[in-house]
Amino acid sequence: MKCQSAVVYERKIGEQLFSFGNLGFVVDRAMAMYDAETGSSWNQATGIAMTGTHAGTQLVVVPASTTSLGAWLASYPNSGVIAPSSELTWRQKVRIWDPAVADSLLLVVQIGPLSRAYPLSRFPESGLLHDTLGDEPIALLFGRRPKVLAAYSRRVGAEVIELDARPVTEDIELLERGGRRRWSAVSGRSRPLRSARPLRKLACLPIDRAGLELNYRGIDLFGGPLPPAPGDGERATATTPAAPVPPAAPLPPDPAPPPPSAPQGGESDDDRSR
Amino acid sequence: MPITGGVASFVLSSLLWPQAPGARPDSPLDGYGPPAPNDRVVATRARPPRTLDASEVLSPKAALMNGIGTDETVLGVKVGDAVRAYPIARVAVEEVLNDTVDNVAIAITW
Repeated sequence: MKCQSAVVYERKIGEQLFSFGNLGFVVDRAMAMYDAETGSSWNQATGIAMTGTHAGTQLVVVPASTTSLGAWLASYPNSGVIAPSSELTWRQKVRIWDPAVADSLLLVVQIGPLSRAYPLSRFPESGLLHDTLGDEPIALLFGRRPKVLAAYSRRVGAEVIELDARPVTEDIELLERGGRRRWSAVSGRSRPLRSARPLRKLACLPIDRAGLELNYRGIDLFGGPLPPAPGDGERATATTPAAPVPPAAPLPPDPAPPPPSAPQGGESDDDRSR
Repeated sequence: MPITGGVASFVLSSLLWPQAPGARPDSPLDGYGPPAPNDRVVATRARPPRTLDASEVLSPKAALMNGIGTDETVLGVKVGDAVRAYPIARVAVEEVLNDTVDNVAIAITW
């Protein structure tokens, strides 16, 4: 079984552009991929080259939202959608929202050299979790109805805000506590559009516990060590001191404030997901 | 026999793509730390790089007509002014897809 890790990477490092293929097996519960340009092999869950010319190099994560198509289209009605494949003969079940396995899944957030793992079992009923990673105030959302998995900075301009979550049609609205501003949890855009700066989306990825223990040894765990999993035995745990977590992409620059005469709606807004 | 399967996968792929320059390392895990219990377990088919074509990017209406439901789990990406949804079930066919969105080259992985 694979580790439920869905990640988008930039496939360019410096001037080197990569085309990735699938090596056909797993390493540490993650798909092993390779680049056709140098033959280096890469770990899908960490984006780190395992062998070859680029061994030790890490790909930059592109912040993305894991959500339902309906919720995505509610935020971006003109979004492109990738077509089904004629080769689609089976479906890897996405188990992120499966109550039977949610207790074994975590969300890893990376900001520059800092990483922290958040067990989904430790999210409050609202699905919204506040934390500070380094000096960055962050909000993580594990929304069940509708499905939304995303992480944002809680820094809006020079302000640090706190948020509450409220489900709305095909989205979860993030409300400024003690204020009037509102944002979409799917897109990070203000509601109504352009009434405030967008929230800055952060790189995060879901991963199951076993995948975390193999790929992110020594990572800081929100809420302290996890209790032993059934059948843990001698297996190393996520709290075992081991290799340091590799560096991640630096935080992207603060999105520019909305231009006063910008058009409304569609895909021409000014927030940057990268 | 997972390890045997892994070796068979290598042999098969070398037959499938014998001319790909530097495409697949012969021993991609040599030197990669201590082995984990499931290293080299064959989980799926080996695949050469797959780059999405512009014709594979559908409008929402066309996507729904092609059987993609609104409850389908997607990875939603916004790069510059471009917005795309990648159904995870679709990504899972190759497990890694190469795409270029608003002139930014990205890899969508599962």
